[in-house]
Amino acid sequence: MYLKLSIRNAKRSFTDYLLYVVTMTVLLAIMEISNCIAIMGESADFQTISLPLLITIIQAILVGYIDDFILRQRAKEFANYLLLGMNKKKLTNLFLCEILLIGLLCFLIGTTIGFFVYGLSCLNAILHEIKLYAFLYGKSILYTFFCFCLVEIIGAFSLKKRLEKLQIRELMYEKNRNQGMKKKENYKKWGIAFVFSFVCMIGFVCGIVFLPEDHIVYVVSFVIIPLLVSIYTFYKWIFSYLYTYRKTKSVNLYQKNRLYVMASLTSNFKTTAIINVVFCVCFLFSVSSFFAGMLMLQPEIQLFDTDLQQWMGTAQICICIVFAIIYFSILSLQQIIELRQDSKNNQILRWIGKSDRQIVILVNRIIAIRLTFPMTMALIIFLFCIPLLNVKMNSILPITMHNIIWGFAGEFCLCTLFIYLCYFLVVSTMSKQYIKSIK
Amino acid sequence: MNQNKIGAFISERRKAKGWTQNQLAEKLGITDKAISKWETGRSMPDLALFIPLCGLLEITLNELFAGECIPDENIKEKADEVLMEVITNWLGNDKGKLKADEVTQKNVLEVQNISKIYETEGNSVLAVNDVSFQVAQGRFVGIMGASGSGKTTLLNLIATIDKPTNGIIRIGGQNIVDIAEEDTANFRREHLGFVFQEYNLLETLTIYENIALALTVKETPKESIGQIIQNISEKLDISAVLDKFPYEVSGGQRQRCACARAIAVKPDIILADEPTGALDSHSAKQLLSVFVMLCKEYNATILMVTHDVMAASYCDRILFMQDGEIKATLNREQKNKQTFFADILKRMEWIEGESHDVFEIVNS
Repeated sequence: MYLKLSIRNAKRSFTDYLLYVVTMTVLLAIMEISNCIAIMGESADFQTISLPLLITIIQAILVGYIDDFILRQRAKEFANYLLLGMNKKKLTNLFLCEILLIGLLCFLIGTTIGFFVYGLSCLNAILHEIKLYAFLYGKSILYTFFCFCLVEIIGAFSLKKRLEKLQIRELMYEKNRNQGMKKKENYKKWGIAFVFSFVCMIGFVCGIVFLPEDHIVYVVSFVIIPLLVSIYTFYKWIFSYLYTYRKTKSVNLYQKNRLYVMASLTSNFKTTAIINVVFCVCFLFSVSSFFAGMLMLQPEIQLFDTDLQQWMGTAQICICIVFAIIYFSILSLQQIIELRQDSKNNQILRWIGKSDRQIVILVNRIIAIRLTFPMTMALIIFLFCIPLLNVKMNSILPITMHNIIWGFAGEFCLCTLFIYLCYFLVVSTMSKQYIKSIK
Repeated sequence: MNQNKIGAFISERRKAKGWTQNQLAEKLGITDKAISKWETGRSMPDLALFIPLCGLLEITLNELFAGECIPDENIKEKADEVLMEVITNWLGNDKGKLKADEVTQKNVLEVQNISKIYETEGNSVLAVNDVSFQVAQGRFVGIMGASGSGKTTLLNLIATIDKPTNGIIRIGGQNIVDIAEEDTANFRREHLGFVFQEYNLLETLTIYENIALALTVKETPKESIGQIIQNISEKLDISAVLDKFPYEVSGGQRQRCACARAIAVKPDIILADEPTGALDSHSAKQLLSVFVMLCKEYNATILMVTHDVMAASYCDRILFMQDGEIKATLNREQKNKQTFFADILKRMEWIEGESHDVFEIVNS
């Protein structure tokens, strides 16, 4: 009976699982592509294994977040199973099996799509022999499966721990739970940590620009540490600050839509901060890959063999697109699903006197903020780093190519704006239709 | 009756006997937690336990209710005092007073010949049939009826959530039937307040913020919001939970927060749909007392849909609905709550009897 109940409820929770399925499939497809690139790079004596590793880390964090999201949506149902007399261990196992089965399905679809896309892009360029093709397929699937297992194990372990901790009463209210902060001053500590790490990061970038060539290698190797720390501390600081500001009940908050927007941003501010860090990293990699790819595609720059450089440049642009897709697709899907989960909120807003048009404007504002927020820190970093990197590139490149970095930055901004507007329009239109359909 | 005083008295007598809470609990066949609750004034003993408890503690029932030992010379006087207090607690001492200026109070709500027909695949259902009534400002009016009698449909029509097929509804003199769809939100914001059975609070906002949100939607000056919330929360006894989220407080507190949200924006009329439906009897009584207080002190006008006779007994006037029509009305006038309660039961019995008679005629 429990199994039947569970399957029926899983079907009903299709919208909750949609985020999981899409995220898993997209990331596994990307992982498969990156594994193919890594294997091919390996054969050409390039070290590109860091890319699938990075995607694994991103996937592990995102899967953790989505598992938590699904758990919250279904917590009341689980509490009912336990009240009916189901053993908690059995319930946990059932839920984990459900997640794993869906994960396996995503793995099959994701890897097939990934390999197909990679095969299409490289069919004429490198893979001439069917034997090599089979070898690449086998090896990349094996690598992807290994990463997938790692992600699933981490996700299952944290989910199991969380389910074991939650009592029936807590499960009943889990969906409505909001995150809080014990000490109001915590945001100051995060602020100090952010300023310190950001200054360190700028220092490292200055080192890359101004230090002699033989010292640069050390600075380049370690710049990633202050970079990641500054992103992490920035989001922890900004969300802790917003939460604390909300708690002070400042009068400035009680006008227009500020209170509602602030509440929607800070109700789960700890998780939101982590998710913003992940998406910020995605965006940052997208920008970096764009710059690297564009530089390699310049015929005036000759670092490697022309064909190889062309291939590497294209690969970097592909990575840029991949991270941009991860960023915008998953964030957009998250907005659509959350809007459906919170449909009751719109009904309440209607009762207290908001018209459909006003609700649509409010929802659009929240969508715009949520799509923009993760890229904010990446943009701040680039605002500081691009002038410095431009100086460096000007010292290396011929005079005809001076200020090329600014040109790339402009192109990237335009592309991002275009993609942003496309995704925003899609999410906004879907939200508008949904709001009008639910009355 | 002072519950704390009674608790302290039980504790004193128990200690005089040299018993622990556990020992007394064993003698009464209950848990020691119950004894602890009595002694701290959190609850009263069950009716069946009064006599055994008095017997064990060697006190009279009068002394238990008085919360002190009564000397023999004062026994008669004190016994009468205690008895009066018990009766007052049980029945309440309120008298339904007709407001002096009731005659001159203007009508906030006027419903004239309202009908609502739902068309479904060739079938038409008459949910509300030619209903007319008025509600004056500051009155607490109840709509009673069985499930499917059309009371919630009528409330939805008044709430601008649905449009009537025929008739006129005026709120504050404005005919809401003519209001364009896009202006209904504006009308709700300016003129209506809602209290629902399921509270309908935003779970991402604290109790304070839930009230504040309604005020910001109504564009109340931001500087006065804090003071408004402070005042209303004190009146409704929710000051202590203002910073909590809805899921962290009891159902009664949540519903009082919904009331605070509704009254804070000073609407012309508050529409309450089964507001006591999800509450225990104590919380329900608290909420209904709040409604009465809002009418008296804030001159609020409340229209409440209910099928609970106890809840209806707090109203000034009851409209009884059956098959989409108002079958009868009952005014409280100067009756106290108990008499009004009995009148409601009688009227319900009469309505049911009438419908049975109709059935009998049809069947025969």
